[in-house]
Amino acid sequence: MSILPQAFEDWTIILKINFILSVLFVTLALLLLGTVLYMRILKNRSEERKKTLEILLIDFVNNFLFDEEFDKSKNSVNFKNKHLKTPYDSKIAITQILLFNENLKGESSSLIKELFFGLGLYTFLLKDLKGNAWHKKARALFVFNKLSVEVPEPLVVSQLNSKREEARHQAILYFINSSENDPLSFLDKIDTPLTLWQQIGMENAMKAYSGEIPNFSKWLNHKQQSVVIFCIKMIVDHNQFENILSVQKLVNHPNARVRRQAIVSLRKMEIGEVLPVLIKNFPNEGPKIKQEILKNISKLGSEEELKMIAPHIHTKDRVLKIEYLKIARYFNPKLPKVKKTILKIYPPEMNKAKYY
Amino acid sequence: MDINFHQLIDIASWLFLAYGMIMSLGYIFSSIFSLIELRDYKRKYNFKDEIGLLQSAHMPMISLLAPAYNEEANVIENVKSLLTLDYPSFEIMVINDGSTDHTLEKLIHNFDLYLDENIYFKHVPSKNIKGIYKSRNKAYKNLKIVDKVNGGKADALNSGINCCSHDIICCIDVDCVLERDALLKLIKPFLNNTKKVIASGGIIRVANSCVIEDGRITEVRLPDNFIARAQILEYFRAFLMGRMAWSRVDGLLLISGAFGMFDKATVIEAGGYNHNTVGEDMELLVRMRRIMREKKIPYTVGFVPDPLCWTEVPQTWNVLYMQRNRWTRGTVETLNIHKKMLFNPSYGVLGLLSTPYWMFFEWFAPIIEFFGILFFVFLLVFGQVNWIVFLIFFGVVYSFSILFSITALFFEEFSFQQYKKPEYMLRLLYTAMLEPLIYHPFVMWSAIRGNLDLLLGKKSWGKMTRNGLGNNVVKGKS
Repeated sequence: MSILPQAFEDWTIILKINFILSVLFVTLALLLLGTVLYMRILKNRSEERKKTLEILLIDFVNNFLFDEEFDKSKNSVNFKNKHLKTPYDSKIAITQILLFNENLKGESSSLIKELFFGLGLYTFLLKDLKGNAWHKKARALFVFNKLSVEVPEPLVVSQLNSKREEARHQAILYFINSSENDPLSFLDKIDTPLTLWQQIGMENAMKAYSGEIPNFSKWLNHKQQSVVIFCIKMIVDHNQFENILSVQKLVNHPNARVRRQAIVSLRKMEIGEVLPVLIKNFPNEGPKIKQEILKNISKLGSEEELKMIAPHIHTKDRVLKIEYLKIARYFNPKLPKVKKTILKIYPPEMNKAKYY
Repeated sequence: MDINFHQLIDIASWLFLAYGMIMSLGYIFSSIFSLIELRDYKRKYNFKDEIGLLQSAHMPMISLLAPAYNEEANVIENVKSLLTLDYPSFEIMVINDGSTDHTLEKLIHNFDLYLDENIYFKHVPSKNIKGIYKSRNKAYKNLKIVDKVNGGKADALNSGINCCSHDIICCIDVDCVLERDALLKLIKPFLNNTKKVIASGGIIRVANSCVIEDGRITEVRLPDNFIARAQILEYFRAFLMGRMAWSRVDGLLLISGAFGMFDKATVIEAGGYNHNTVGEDMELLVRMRRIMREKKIPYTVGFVPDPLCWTEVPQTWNVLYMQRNRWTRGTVETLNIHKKMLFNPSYGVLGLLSTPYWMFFEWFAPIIEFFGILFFVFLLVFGQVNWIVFLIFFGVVYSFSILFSITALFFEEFSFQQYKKPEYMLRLLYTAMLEPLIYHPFVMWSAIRGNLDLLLGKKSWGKMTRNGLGNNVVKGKS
């Protein structure tokens, strides 16, 4: 018998544990190293496969689109059976089809859709959409949306209030792009707040929307504040001046974020008529909204209106005072530089403000 | 005497083993959490349209704060590089922290600056500002230069906070190389959350030896310098494994000072950067989180694993020593300031997991290691070393170090694979073998000295000389 096992038997428990751990760590390190090498080899192979398949796909798609004698359905089936054997192959094909779709319009674009179906990619993605993995669902919706391919509505509706923000995002974009005349009708079904990213996605989708832009005021009473905020922004972006009155009413909304957005948007739309209401509300608002009101007065009001809110700026509101003074100087550049102005209006506290 | 020695050895052995086991378990859990977080991140942003963000009129506006002290050699190139970042609406605020060279003059001359007479408010404490400059050239309309009395990095950033205009601030080191889409990526957590996001951090990558063209990294190369290579492994471990895992459990306590984004209102509410610590980046985030927690406001801190910011790391033992000494002092100071949070369940993950982790595994680890070495010397002196025991203990520590570094390499391979040449991976592996023997003991010693310096009341940063990334620059064609 070898010496090591005998020695091992004689070791104390702590040595045994340490020895076993050393062996375990070395084994794990080697395994992990093997995994790293394997991953590198796998990645290289995947890259090679991708390159080869891309070349084949480009050739095939070009023939499919531009060769009139090309037997589309027969060759599609052949190509699918011969080259699209794994999910990875299908993903490469989808990426290529999306690239072609981005660069083509009109008849070619509908041919791309035909190809998408012909290669079995619709079935492939529909399976993902029906599955459980959120990232696959989101990806499927992304592709359906980009290619304007219709899928059974209940499958998309269920994603509108998905736990995963990404799936919700893609469902929203799908609904906007697939709708012919009411791109935001899905908003009525939304139970979760919209993230800023979703709002930006919707904003861009609305810019690209070719149908009639809806009247955003329809959702100004939505239960989700984020939806209301989004609609206020869109009213400005799409110059829906007919909704000014509805937006004006929102400066009295119970939610501060909605009020703030309404004030900002009214400023952008240059609606000076709202100033008396804002000045009246000023004493009861929080600092952030007060700053926005000041900005509105600066852009749309007069020195007289500015003076009307002066008594409501408390001695502790130093930031507001600075804002006030900036605007005062904007209205009246002849005003003496800060210190004197400050001392005149608010004697002691304002000395803490710095003028550089 | 003999029995006492053996008892002592037994007790110490068990203690070291227990500590080592807890530490290893911590690392294993952090690896698992990181892996899940990385996988999720890749899935999450697989098909998100960042170009769409550029087209939006409703993106949050960002103020980029870049403190500069005696940066005359590179400041113009660095600012020009910042000006070309992709983001719909941002301002760049370079804070000249009382440079004694010609940093300010160069900026004024190159960007056609004039003194702006506007009113600014001191939200957070900072030294006096001598002037704020803006450019007459419309091409640089989003550039502002703050000239102030020297007060250190924290003070300079506070001045930037006082003078900037937008609600989101992004603090960077002016000599860092940012990816063109760095802001678009770092803002993601702010856009993607229904909870309030107070900060977002990114991964810092090592720029030494990389090829830089027009202020951008165009080729990632592995440095020939061993110290720099060891830090690459260290950064993999810290960012790809450590911070990703902390992000998963929402327990991040540190966003690197080299590149971090913050909600300005929360920073101001927290009082801005602390002048009295050398670990101002960590201290600020801990304070912000503490305030949010105490006010019971739901919030989160984001982390983006994409390689967005590249920095030059120390290449000499001396500079490395000063850096690690400072980092240790910063950690201890922060933990000391916020000791109330330690083991305090009312701070949730921060109180029960993050701060204890930082105390035991960041602060205490080098001290315990040092005592381990002292203990070994003690045994050596008294002729009590059992070499088999020594070899086995050394074996377990060394094998774990290697395992940890190889795990980090795995994470790099799994995530962004920046070091593409197979030769690079082999050299990193070789570095991983040597690191526990050469690099790690030195870093441990720097941390020990950091603790001692803290006890002696040392507050300075130490002179951080850099080689500069100038040698790596390939001049642009334009």
